[in-house]
Amino acid sequence: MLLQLNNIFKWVNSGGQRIFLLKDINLNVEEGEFISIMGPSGSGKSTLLNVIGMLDGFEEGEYHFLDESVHSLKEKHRANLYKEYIGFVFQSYHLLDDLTVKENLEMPLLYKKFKGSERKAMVADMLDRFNIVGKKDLFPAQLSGGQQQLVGIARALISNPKLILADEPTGNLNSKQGEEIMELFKQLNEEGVTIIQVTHSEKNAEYGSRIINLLDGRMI
Amino acid sequence: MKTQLFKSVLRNLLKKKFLSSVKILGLIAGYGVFIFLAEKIQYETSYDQFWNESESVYRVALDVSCENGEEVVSAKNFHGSTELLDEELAEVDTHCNLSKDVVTVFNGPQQKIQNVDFIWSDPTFFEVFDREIIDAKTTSLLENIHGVAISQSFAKKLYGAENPIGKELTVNEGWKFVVDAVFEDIPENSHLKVDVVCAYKTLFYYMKNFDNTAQVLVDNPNYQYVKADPYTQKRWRAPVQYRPYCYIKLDKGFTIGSVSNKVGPLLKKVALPQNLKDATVDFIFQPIADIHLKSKLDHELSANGELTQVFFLGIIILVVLLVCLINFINLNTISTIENAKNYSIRILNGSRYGQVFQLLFIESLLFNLIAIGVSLVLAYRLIITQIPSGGISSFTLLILVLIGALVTLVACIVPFISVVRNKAFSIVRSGSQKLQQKWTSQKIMVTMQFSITIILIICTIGIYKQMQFVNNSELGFSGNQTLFSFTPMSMNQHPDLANKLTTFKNEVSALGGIVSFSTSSSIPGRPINRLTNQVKAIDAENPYAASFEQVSIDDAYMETYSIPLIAGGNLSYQNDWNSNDILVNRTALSHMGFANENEAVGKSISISNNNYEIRGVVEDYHHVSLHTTVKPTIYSQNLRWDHSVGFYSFRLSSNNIAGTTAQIQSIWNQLYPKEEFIFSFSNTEFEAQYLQDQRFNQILSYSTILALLISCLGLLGVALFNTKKRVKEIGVRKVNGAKIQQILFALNRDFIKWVAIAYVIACPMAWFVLDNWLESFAYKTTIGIWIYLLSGLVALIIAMLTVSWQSFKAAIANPVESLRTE
Repeated sequence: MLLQLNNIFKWVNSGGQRIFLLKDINLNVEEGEFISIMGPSGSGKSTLLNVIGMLDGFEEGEYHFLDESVHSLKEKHRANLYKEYIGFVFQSYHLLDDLTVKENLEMPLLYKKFKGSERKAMVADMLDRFNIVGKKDLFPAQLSGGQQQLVGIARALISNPKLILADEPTGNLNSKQGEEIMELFKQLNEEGVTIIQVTHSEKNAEYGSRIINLLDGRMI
Repeated sequence: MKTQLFKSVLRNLLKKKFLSSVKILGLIAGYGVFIFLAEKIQYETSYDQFWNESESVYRVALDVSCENGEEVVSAKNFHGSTELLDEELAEVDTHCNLSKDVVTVFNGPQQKIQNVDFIWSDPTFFEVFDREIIDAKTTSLLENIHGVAISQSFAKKLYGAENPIGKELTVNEGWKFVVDAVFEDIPENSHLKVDVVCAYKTLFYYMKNFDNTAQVLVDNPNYQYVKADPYTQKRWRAPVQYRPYCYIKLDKGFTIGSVSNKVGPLLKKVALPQNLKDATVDFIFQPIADIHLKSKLDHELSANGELTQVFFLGIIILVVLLVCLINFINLNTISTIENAKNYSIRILNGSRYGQVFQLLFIESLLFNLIAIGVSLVLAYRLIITQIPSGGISSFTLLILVLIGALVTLVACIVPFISVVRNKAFSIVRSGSQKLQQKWTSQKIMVTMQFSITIILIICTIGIYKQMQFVNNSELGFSGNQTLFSFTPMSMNQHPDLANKLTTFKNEVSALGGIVSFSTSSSIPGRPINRLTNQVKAIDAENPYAASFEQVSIDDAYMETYSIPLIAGGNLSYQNDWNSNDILVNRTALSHMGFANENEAVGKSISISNNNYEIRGVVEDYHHVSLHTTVKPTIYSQNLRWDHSVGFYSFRLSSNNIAGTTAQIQSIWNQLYPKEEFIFSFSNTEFEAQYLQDQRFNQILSYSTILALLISCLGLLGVALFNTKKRVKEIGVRKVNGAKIQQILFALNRDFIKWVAIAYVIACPMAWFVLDNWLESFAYKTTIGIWIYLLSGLVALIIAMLTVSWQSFKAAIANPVESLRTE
């Protein structure tokens, strides 16, 4: 078991009313799964992903990640946990504009106390694995969307996470680029990485081993 | 349309309370400093410009260079100087000489005014210094041998609402005069302060015919005043203390150049005394409007201002305004960027660019109007307490409006061009992520601001250190618990002077609270003003090269002021307060050719052909402020002091000072019933010499604080913008594992870099400014490297605190917010 959500509730108070973002979510994720979260706009897909990624808290319920009870952890421990085990991929890539591809890949390693030589090796390895060695000195603006997302995924993978969280990874890409990215995810999943993705597209959802449907913050 | 624009602007201001108040505060501080300092500068430069034809009135100063290279440039000159010029040159319309006197004026037995601005002058005084004659008994002013002219405000002080014309007033020892004329006051901004004018011939007449024993004037109807001939030696002989200040007024159409060329040949026609014949004598013609700021001669009439200080004030104005302008532009650009989305929506809905500009303009104008209004009120309240003219001139207002207009325009044009008309300004996306190319100009501006601020900090600390140095310096005497008063004026020239003084001393010394009592012609803190170059060795042909200062003292003076004797003995008590014994100070030794202090003791010297014996040598002490060096000084024992006015000094024991002064007062009242006992503390008197420096330091410190405040506001705005711009980056880094302190470091690193660059630029400039200012002190503190380091550190810490406030907020923010896909 990689993670387990039990009766998760998340809400905000707005104008004296309680608005539920997540309602009674129960979810078990085993290692090696590839899960697609689907649902219309505002159904709580991204919120759920953020909760799983520990970027966002929740009001009620329990969250176990590996052997840790996330809901009772302090902020600092929680941060350490996701730094170690989780990689994020975003719809709009979120690469740093003023860093080159190589530097973008190296950035997370800077925060994890790897030595210079180790970092270099890991970056080289990743460039090699994603076939982007030739682009290592380019800036994000000089790449196509598909290539940028490739870098985004490479960055998420560089510190060897157990879980990849992807929020509409193909949302900004054309269909061919999207297909390539999904193939890549599939291949990664086969290599043992657990993936949870949020998507609008039925076709992309098919790549997953399981589909979760959300409506108004509730699993259906 | 207009109201909608206005409403939109107003709502925007209120919504961004923080940024708006930062902007307004910056402007208010800048404009406030401008108004205050502009008034101060105008006041300082307005001295003596109100006179009719002030540009043709000159003071004739005296420059004497001896063969040995010693040069004395004195504000005083010989009576003969202006008389000669007037006599010989067609260019000179008229002249007048004037001598200041220290007097107490009595109106009947009850009312008296001490320390009156009293001058002796020529009947031509009002031709040179035009004043409206408000009321007069006669058209020929200052011709009546018993008459005086008094100022309007002095008349009011002395006689209240009564008509002063024809009233009698009594001066010092009992000279009675009649008020002949009342003249319009001379404004504060003049180097000349005059309340009572009396003719020279009156002085001579009274000196000749006043019976000091009976204290009455014995009129001599046959008296004929014969004006001396400027070609005779008599008009060129007076020692410094008896020389007047000399003024000429040129005829229309002449320049001073043609006059000054003729001085050399003219002097050849005069039978100059030997000491002047041996030296090179020249006249210096000072336009009266220049005297206050530019004249720094010996024996000035009153304490003058300093041109360098006015210059510094001007620089401070420029600097603060520049900082303020940069700041406002910066902050305006930032808020424009923040509003970019609103502007783009307007344009999307058909607004023209010009209308967006209008929006920016109204906003900028509103800020400036509020700031100008508030700063005017604040500055006015400060001005009426600090500057005698007390008001805001229309000139200042005009310039303020121009500056306001400039700031308004620049501060909306810059963001309009750099944000709204920028190619990167996309009408569908908010601009905040896209506007990075303009970033460099903001960096440069903030760096400039900080350079200026660091210069100000360094200068303030440096000047503060010098003032501390001045206050803590060993002055060589002690004025602790020492009171002084003027000698009683009514006793001047009085035959009872010595007797009464002895009685006074005996009674005062018998009081328990008195440690010692002394009388002298000058006290520490008061200029000595008595110079002689007629000192020579007893058998020598020629006098010593140096001029010596002369102070008349008694046997208790050195004890009263705790000035140590380094060789020989003190003066001894004399019944008639008079002896041929003298003391000299250490500096005088080398000028008299003695190898050491012991060699001097017991030697006789001659001063103006009278012989004196050196009884002892005293240590040097600072008789006047540390602006000047210690001069060779001779202390002689007599009651003959300048203008017959001296000082009483009382050293008190520490307990019951109030009780002791009351006892002194009652003794005084018995002996000198005509005069009030008015005393002050000697220390306060000495410190008063630094008033000008302290004021300047005060102005500088306040300006520094304000400039620092404005710079910090600017930095705060930029930090706000910087973090906002990097919010996405911070989010990405945090998601990828960056800790809060790592984010903080990344955000602050840039600012540290700017402050460092600013520091490097500021240091040499600050050194230059400080070095110049210290030049005006003969004794100066060392400006150690630590002052520079400390200032840099202060700037850095303040900058970091300002920036970190924003950075910290950004660093702890949840990245989910910033990374949400729009």
